[in-house]
Amino acid sequence: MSWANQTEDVSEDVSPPPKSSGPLKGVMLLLLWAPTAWIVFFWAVYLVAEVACVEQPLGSSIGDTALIAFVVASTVVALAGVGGVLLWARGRARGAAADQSLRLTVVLLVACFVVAVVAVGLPALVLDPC
Amino acid sequence: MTDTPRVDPVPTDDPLDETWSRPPGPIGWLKAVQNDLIGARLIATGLFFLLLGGSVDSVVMRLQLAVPENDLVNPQLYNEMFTNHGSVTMFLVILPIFEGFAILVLPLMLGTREMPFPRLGSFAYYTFLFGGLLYYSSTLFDAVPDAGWFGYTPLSGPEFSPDLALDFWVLGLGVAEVGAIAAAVEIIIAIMKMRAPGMTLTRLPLFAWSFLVTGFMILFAFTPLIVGSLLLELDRGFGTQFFNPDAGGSSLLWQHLFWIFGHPEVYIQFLPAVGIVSMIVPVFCRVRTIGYQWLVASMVSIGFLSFGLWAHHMFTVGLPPLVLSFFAGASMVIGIPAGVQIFAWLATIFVGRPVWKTPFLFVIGFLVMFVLGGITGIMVAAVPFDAQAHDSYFVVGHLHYVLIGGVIFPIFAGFYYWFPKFTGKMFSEQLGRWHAGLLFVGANVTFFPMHIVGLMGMPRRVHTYPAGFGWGIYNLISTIGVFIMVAAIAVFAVNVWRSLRHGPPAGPDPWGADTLEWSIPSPPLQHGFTTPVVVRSRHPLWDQDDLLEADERVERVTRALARWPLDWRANLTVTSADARPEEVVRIAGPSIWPLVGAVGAVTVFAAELMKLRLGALAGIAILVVAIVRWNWPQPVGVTAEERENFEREAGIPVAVGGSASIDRWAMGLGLLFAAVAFASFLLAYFYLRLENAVWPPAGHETPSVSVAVYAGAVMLAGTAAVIRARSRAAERDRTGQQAWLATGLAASIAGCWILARDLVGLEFDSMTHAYGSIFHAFGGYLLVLGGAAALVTAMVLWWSKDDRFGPNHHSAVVNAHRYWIGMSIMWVAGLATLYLTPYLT
Repeated sequence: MSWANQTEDVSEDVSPPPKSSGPLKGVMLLLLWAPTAWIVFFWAVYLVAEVACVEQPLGSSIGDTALIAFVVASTVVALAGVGGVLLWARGRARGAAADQSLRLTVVLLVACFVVAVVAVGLPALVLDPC
Repeated sequence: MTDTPRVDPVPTDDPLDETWSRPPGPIGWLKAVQNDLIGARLIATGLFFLLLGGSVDSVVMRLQLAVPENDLVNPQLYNEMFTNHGSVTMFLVILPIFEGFAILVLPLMLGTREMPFPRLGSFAYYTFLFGGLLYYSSTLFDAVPDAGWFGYTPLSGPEFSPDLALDFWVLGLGVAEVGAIAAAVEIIIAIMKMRAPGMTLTRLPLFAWSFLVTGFMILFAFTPLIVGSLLLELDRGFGTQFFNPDAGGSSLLWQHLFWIFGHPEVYIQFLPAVGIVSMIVPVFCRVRTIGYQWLVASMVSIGFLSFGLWAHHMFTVGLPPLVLSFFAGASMVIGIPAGVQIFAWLATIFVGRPVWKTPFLFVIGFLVMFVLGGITGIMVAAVPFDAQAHDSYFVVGHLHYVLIGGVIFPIFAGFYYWFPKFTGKMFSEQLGRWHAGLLFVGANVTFFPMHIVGLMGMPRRVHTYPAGFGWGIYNLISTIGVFIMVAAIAVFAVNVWRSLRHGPPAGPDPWGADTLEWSIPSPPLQHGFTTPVVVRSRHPLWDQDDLLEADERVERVTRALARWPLDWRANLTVTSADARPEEVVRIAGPSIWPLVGAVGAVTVFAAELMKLRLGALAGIAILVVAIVRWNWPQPVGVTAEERENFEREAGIPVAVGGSASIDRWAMGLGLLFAAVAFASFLLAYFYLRLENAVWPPAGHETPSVSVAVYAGAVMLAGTAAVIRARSRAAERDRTGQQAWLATGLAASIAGCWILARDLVGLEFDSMTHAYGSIFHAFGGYLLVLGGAAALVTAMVLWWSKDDRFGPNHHSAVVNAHRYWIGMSIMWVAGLATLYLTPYLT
């Protein structure tokens, strides 16, 4: 007697032979879109901030302002980029986008990386950059 | 709901078991490549290093710190011990053990017969073993590393560590890093291509998901460390100036390269633990995992976020405030996916009916300790708090809660969980409980007081402390705690020894578990599954009446593969996302060449240690010959008629001479490794550029653009030629294919010659200024890429003389063309960086 026999009815978890997950490119696009958008954003603002703070004199208001504007603009673009995958997947009934399990994972990833973009970008509004 | 299905014996069990067994005798043992043997060796060797570096050192250090102003060990020995403790546990214990788990368990869990590249797995093991031994051999030469597990420059540089100690550290661990990357490549491809039919990515066990993410993280994290280690060794052995601020270098460059590895490394160690815990919790709570998708999303999130945290180890080095905030923000956000995991497991426990067996006890210990370690992690992610707690015992307490609680507890949980499967014996439950209890009490007694004494101001890495600060009692408690942990390890050792000798038979599935490895006998036959099983659920053993039942097309494949071939190692590959049968591939058999290759690799590093440059060249030659030999095509015991009969019956191709789909993955990951190394050189180049107001510095000529144009054009022409060779191979035009391959080979040699000639003839050297150092090193890397193109092209050209390639069987040519495309992109970008950017800036 298996322990599994003591669980609830699980028959709905046994699905027909695989069709749902779709081709790999579609799956990877869905899964990696939001994280990739975040990592590109993070490295962009980090590298620009490093360069700006080295090359601009400490406390230079022109350099600071430009840097803040870049970070804020990047944050807005990154938010759009992270969320863009949901727009792309919406309404698609074929391939990877049709897999409900995968869709939930994608929504969770988008939620996590929206928070991550905001957490990285927001301090630019209140901190002296360099 | 039915009883757990089993895979019944099949008449071909015995011949297949013989085909997949290792050759007899001691030589056969050295040539063995089976996943169970390689996995067990990795785990056993990791535990051995744990005893050396994790236990002995820590006991002596705790004895030294038990009372104030103690003189049990002198400051130098103490420095050596904490360096050894950190280095060994981070490089030689945790990751090898986890990779051992993966190589041991994954094939059975995924429902396949073997890992895709068993010889690569063998090479990974031997390099890890030899790297560890090379590192430890420093004791024999009285040159034990003493600059901490992070090896910060300038302390680790030639000025302050002039003897061989740090060379042992850099070079010994460098060999082990090569092994870690090799194993990661194999693990990724196994998960993507070698699964049971029907095991889609959304049905993949969470253990496999965790290793899929971890494998990619290893590629992205270890590679910058290898580049950083190379630069450090060049500073130490060749007089370059990468980390010397007086000559245009930067000691912070080392910190960046190290922590770009070092922080993801924490999650590289944690995610496999997540995988293990996610397998154990549902089994011992007798309920399916709550929040499968949440756990997958959290692992992917952690994989990415972990590459935005590294500078939180550098909060006090003077980074700009905005940069600090980026890393603080990312460091706090990573608490979200980690928290999601905790709540998913708690929810699973809450709705289930827990059975308090030993593996589950370790999981509970993990949950308690990891939550505490995670909370203090969020504390040190806050810059103001970190500025106070940095380099204090608070951080020591935090990291040990994370690593003991978050990693060691799951390692033991996994060990007890899968012990019956691979030994066929049950362990003593009573001793297991003692082990879990003692370790939990010991770890908390040891590490909790460290938070308090850290907040009281006790710095880390000090060999003693004065009386009167009030630190003594906390240190004494910690020392008592470590002896409780020693008792726990002793109980574990007794349990393993006793169980192996006298443990009762385990049976196929002693836990009533849900994944495929529990469907076959314990211990399993060498080939695992005679008839490939088919998956229709995330919990196949709980949900499926019959593991062999499938639609007609899939059943034709699986039943055919049970009968043929019996005399060579055949395995089924599936499409990556939806796990449809794709092809039957030949898996490499036992070979001595992985061992020879590892000897070559360690010879390179050991010779460099002794400054024997000819010895290093000999090591490279051995390594190259071994790699060529172990990849050399071998005659296949199959006739065209047999193959056609199988293909007609099963409806999928038989790839005895190389699998196009697996080769594609292997080349893709190889190029990814090369690209990450390339990006690391780029980062180093531009970081040094930022550190220098004048670039090139005074007295250094600006490089000649014409060299870049000539060398780049030649390599692009070579790429075009190899692309042409591919199309000729597809059309079975052997003459044309060979002509174009020869053109590509000539182009690679010419391109390398142009660049090498320029590097040798430059008026500036690599030892005067960091500009010259990075110019030569980066140029040298481009030469390595170009040289590899020449080697690959020469091999394919040689193979083509046998008329080996046909319209559907020319994956080697396709792979060569892929390499050329990737290499030429890096080559051109590298030349542009070296030869053009000085004009732009």
